[in-house]
Amino acid sequence: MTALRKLASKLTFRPETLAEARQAEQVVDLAQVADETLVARVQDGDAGAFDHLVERYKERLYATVYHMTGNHADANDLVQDTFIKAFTSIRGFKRESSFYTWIYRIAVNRTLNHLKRGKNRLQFSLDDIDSHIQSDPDFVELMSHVTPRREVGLTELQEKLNVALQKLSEHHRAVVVMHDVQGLTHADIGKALHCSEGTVRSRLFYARQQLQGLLADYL
Amino acid sequence: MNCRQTKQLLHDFTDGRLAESVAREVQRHVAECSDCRVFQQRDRQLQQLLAVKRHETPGPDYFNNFLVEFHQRLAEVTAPRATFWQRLSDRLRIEPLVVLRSGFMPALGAAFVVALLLRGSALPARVESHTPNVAMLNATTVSTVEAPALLAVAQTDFHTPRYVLDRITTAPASYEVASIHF
Repeated sequence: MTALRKLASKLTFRPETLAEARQAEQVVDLAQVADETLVARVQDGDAGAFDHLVERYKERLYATVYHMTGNHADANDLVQDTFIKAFTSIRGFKRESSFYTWIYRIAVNRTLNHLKRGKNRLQFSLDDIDSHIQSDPDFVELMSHVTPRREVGLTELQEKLNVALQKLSEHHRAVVVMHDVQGLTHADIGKALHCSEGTVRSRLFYARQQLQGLLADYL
Repeated sequence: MNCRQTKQLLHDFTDGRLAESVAREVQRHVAECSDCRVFQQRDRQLQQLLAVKRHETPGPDYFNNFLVEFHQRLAEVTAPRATFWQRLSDRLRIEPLVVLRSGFMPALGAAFVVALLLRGSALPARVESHTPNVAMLNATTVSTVEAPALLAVAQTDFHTPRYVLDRITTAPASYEVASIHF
């Protein structure tokens, strides 16, 4: 009799367990599905799918905005605003470009508008430098030469770089950040900034010239 | 190829993004021009310096509350906006009437209804006069100060009964005329 009871308890159907399993399965699936699928789900009213897009792109967008503004608080606010703007206008997203290109454009435009309005906080709040820098060939070569940059600490170098970048105009800073720091192509930058590749090249040239002058002591 | 053109192409040259013929021209110019060689070297060092920026990260815990904050901000943005009256009452720190919470038009309607009710209560319970002028005489009490004016009005009104005129005319000046009902 006891054995029969044990068997019956094992065979008992528990709907809540099944629901939990399905939910867990869905979470795993959504974290791996393509942007297009997630966007389609959000457009169909599944607001939860947007969380996965936020998780996927928050760090990349933050990095771009942070390099342009030079401080955490502004970067955080602007990235939050970007996601809110994307969520509220996602029904108008016609999927002619990738979701990332679309949201990246929103982030850059909002940051440029923010900088143009002069609302940027003046003080810098610097990010940490990750440990991978020690194995970056550019950095290794940079430190191998006998110049004033060897004498200064990494934090000071970081500060000088930020000060120099902030002295550039918003558009010049944007192209330097997007091309030289983040490695985007001229074509992608042109799309994000609504300008031609020629304009991007020209802005890059002038921005680098200016940076060479501003960082002359460290070159 | 002049210096300006060369400088503009140097970066792409370093990255190997130029067509072979253009790259050859840039190379030839750099070999002959010391100014462009210095520029190329400084550009290379600038890129090395910018490598520092590529390794900046905001710390491991920075994004812990990012999604929660996003939901909070989204809720604020998508919440229905306060009406003018709500914002005004909030600013003045007064508790608005229930109708004011619904917007201006309901408030206006409510004000109109209240005005009608107030006007109705000011009127006498029985209004049976022939004309508006005579209706004034239906007031429960007419003061001695008002009597002459009312008399003048009543005299010009053809519909005023004769006995009304008599009662006003004969009213004593020292006290109020009480309740002229007809």
